[in-house]
Amino acid sequence: MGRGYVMKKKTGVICSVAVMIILLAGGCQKKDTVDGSSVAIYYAAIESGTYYEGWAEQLQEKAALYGSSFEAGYAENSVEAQDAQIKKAVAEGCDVLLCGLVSPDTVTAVKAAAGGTPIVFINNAPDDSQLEKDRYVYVASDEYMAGQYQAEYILEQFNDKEEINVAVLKGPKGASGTIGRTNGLKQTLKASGKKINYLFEDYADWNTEKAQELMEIFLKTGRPVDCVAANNDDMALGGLAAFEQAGISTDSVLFLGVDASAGGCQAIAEGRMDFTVYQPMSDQITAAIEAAEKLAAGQSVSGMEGAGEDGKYILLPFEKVDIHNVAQYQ
Amino acid sequence: MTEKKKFISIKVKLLGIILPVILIIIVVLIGLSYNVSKNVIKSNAHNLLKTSVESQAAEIEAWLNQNLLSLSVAKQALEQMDFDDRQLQDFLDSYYNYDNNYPEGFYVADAEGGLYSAKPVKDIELREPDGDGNYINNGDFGIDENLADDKGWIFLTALEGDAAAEIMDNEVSIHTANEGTADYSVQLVQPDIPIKKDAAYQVSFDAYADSDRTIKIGITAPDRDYKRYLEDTTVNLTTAKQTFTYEFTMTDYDDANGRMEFNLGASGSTAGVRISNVSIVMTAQPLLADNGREAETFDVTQTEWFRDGLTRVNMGFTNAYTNENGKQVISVCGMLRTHSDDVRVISADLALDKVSVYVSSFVKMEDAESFLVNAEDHTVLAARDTALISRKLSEIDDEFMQGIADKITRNEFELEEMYGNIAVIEEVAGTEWLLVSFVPAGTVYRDLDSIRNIMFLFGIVSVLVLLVLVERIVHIVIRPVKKLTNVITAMTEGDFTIHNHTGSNDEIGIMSRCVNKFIDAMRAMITSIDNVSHILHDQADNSKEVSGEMFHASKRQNQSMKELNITVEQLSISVNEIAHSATTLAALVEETKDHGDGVNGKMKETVGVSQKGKEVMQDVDAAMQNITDSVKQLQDAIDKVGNASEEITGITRAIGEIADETNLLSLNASIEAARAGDAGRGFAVVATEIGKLAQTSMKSVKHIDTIILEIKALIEGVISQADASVDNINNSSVLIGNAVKTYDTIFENIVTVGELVQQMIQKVNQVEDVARDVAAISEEQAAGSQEILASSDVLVEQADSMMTNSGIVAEESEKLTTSAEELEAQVKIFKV
Repeated sequence: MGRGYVMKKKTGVICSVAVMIILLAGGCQKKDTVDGSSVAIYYAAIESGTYYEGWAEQLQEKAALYGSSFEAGYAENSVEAQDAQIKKAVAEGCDVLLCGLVSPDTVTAVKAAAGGTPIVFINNAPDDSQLEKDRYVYVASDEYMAGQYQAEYILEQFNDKEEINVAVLKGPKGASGTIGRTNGLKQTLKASGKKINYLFEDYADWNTEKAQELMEIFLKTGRPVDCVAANNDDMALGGLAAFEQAGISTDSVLFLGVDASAGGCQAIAEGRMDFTVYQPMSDQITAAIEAAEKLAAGQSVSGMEGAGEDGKYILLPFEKVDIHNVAQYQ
Repeated sequence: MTEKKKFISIKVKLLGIILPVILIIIVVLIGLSYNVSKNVIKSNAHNLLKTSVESQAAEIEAWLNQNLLSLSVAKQALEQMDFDDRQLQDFLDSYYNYDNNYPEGFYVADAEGGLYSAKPVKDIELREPDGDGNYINNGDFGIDENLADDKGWIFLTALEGDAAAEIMDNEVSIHTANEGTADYSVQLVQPDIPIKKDAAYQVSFDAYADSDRTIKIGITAPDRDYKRYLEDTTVNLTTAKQTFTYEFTMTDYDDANGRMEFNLGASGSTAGVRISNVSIVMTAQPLLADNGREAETFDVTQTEWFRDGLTRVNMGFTNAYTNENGKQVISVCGMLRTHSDDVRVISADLALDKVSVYVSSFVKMEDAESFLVNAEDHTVLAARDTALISRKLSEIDDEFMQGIADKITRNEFELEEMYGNIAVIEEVAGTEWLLVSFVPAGTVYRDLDSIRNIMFLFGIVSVLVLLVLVERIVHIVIRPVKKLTNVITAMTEGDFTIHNHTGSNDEIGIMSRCVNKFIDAMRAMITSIDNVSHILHDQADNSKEVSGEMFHASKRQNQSMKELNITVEQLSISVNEIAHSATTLAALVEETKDHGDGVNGKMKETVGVSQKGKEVMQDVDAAMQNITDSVKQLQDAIDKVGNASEEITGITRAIGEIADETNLLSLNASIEAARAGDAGRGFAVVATEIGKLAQTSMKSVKHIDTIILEIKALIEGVISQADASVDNINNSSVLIGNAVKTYDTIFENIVTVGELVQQMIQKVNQVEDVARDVAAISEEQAAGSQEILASSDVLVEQADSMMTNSGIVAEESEKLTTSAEELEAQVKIFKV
């Protein structure tokens, strides 16, 4: 009798625990759906200025389409400031972070500051090992593809040449864009089997003036190049300017950039520059917000356009721009 | 019990189940943990290797970047200063030996082949040798110079070295008391020996020792961090004087301060050494007569660093290459920003030695090794095995190296186990270098093996411990059950004297207590059964006796009943006879009646006749005679009836007596039956029935008696009447005889006679009735006696069956006795 009573008691406890769990689970789910209707997104940008503020503006527009709240903070290239902003945003209950890393080296700190909040990295790539499927994802253009497109254009133009002399103007040392684009360029060229001579290769930090100065120094060597491939249009224009200032004909020299910036497109239209690739920023923004919404809802980003198999990357394709289609991008 | 099943004890069964289960669980557990550990160890090893290679790469990268940075700063300073050529030279000179990573400082070259480099040694005054071409002063020890000053020969001790030296007889002798802890603990040296770059020299000396021993010689550069121009060389001395000769070529810059060293310390011997005839002579002049700028001998614009430097402005690294001095270096180079149209490249050489240190020594994993390889041409830049340096992976005859080359070609830098090694490739950022780190898989699996062995041992130990433990526990738990089993076995054999100890408070304890209770109950029960069987035995004996008696009684009764039967049969015959007689009597009475009627008619005729006459009187007389005869006959018949009645009475009396006796017997039988209990119950019924019949018989007999008495009375009446009528007839006859004479009186008498006849007829009628009654009664009686007969037949049968039954009862009680005895015997089996 006593035993039976104890058994009943036990069963009762188990039942009540089960009921509690179900209630709690139900409660959680309910909470999720309530939150799901209004995701709070925080964009931790690298610095203020037209470029990243432009990003913030467009991100906000996209977020509004989802009915999500959006806020942006600008770290002004300060690792500490970014850390503090993220902590504050998380404390204020943001559901998902969009983060342009001030430095790829601080990913661990940023992740720690975010607590368990999922992060969509944009603008600056974290190290692959720091990304995590459907939790820490990176949305960007496929930098490698930009370099690859440049190389393909060069190879196409110098189809009959066995030896190509190349000058490369790179972005800042260690930047993901620099590495990806340069690797894409070099590896594609190498794969062609042609003899590729890199007569010049230096970091011009995305900067027109620097690029021009470097190219001026290079031109003093008097060594002829077949093409100047820059990691962005600004540097390509700097290189071009150096040639023009030195009065060296650019007719037989290809100038290649990335970004399809206004200046770049114009130069292409004028026939001064030859090739650029369009980085579809709006696609990135759309993808970033979509990824953020998915992560906030606990969904997987796999299945999104450009999503990698490992669930860590969403890489969006570039578009080739040359004299034939430059008008579309102006 | 009889079924001979194979006996397997609970202990064996329990152990048979538990032990394999434990064994399986432990095996599975150990297998699982081994697997888990294996994975953990493997992944740890992989991670360690990765971390190690990453950290090495980071160290190299940091080292490179640090140098790149400081060189870039210097370059920037140089660019801002806008020096003229002389200032530039000063600037370059100031960087000579400024940093030991690039001790030679910067080079600056222009496109025209002009080279500016630090001039490390300015106008070194190289003293001339003596007349014999010997650069050693006092090489023949001809002068007994002071060995303690810093000129010429110097004798030194250090680091616990304790020795003395003296010059005599054109030789120096060195006596060691304590050889010290380093080769230079005991040292004979001569500094200030001029050594010219690219010249070849020969060193020779004579030496012997008190006993066989070794010394070390060498030519060093005290001003250049004791760099060795002639590498330390071990010389084996014997007691015989020998001449030793060595050669070397100076690859370094000119040095006025070379130092000849004889090192006697820490050589394992303190034997005295004697040295003489020391000489250093130049055997070959430098190839260039002009000892000015070497740069003119080669086109600087064709150097690796210049060509590479032309491709950038910001300082960057060249590939590793062997520089003009035959050193493995990488250069940091870039174009200088100048205000002129000159193209100038600034460069500094970083010795790969440093990188080699990082590569070969900074491996943070036991047995792991690294080598640095150029990603482009697969040239090994640094490796612990110096033989590999500068070779291409594809040229190395090693499967593993070929595999690495393949991996690099395929751009696959992931960790991979190949050809017995676990290898991982790491890019060194900022360069085209790949750091390959590998560890023999065996090293990783050695730990695994030891873990496996430990686990195996642990498994065996745990199995053994558990085995013993479980065996003991089962033994202890089972012990009471064994005892209980013994008790139950004894019980089965009837021994209830054993009492079980009931110590434990578990189920077995309850069992023991219950068994004890059972034993107590059984003992009480068996004792009472024993008692009861004793009583039963006695009772069976009694019952056997009683049934024997009963058998005898019923036998007697049977006999009696048979006798009774015969008697009743006789009675029946008698009654039948009575009936017959009565019937005959009745017939006679009928006849008498008829005769009476006839008499009556005759009388009437007589009256008529007598009225006519007297003549007829004769007939009347005859008739009278007939009447008298008839009366007489009647009288006889009646007498007969009376006699018969007497006999009947006698018989009924006999019947009554028998019935009485029967009744008495049945009573006795009933009593006996009652004493026989159930066995006598049937018999009791029979006895009662017999009693009842006997009583009925008596009643019938009494009834017969009564009737017969009545008959008798009536017959007596008839007799008297008949006697009277006889008298009357006799009187009439007399009167007729006498009164024939008087018709009238006769007539009247005849009328009287008629009346009397009438009366007589009436009487006869009465007799007839009586006779009829007698007949009927007799018949009834006959039927009754028949009934009695039948009853007594039944009685006889029943007596027979009673006899049989009592026989059976006797047998049964005999069996009962046997059973009681058996019961007694069986109860005796139990020990209580």
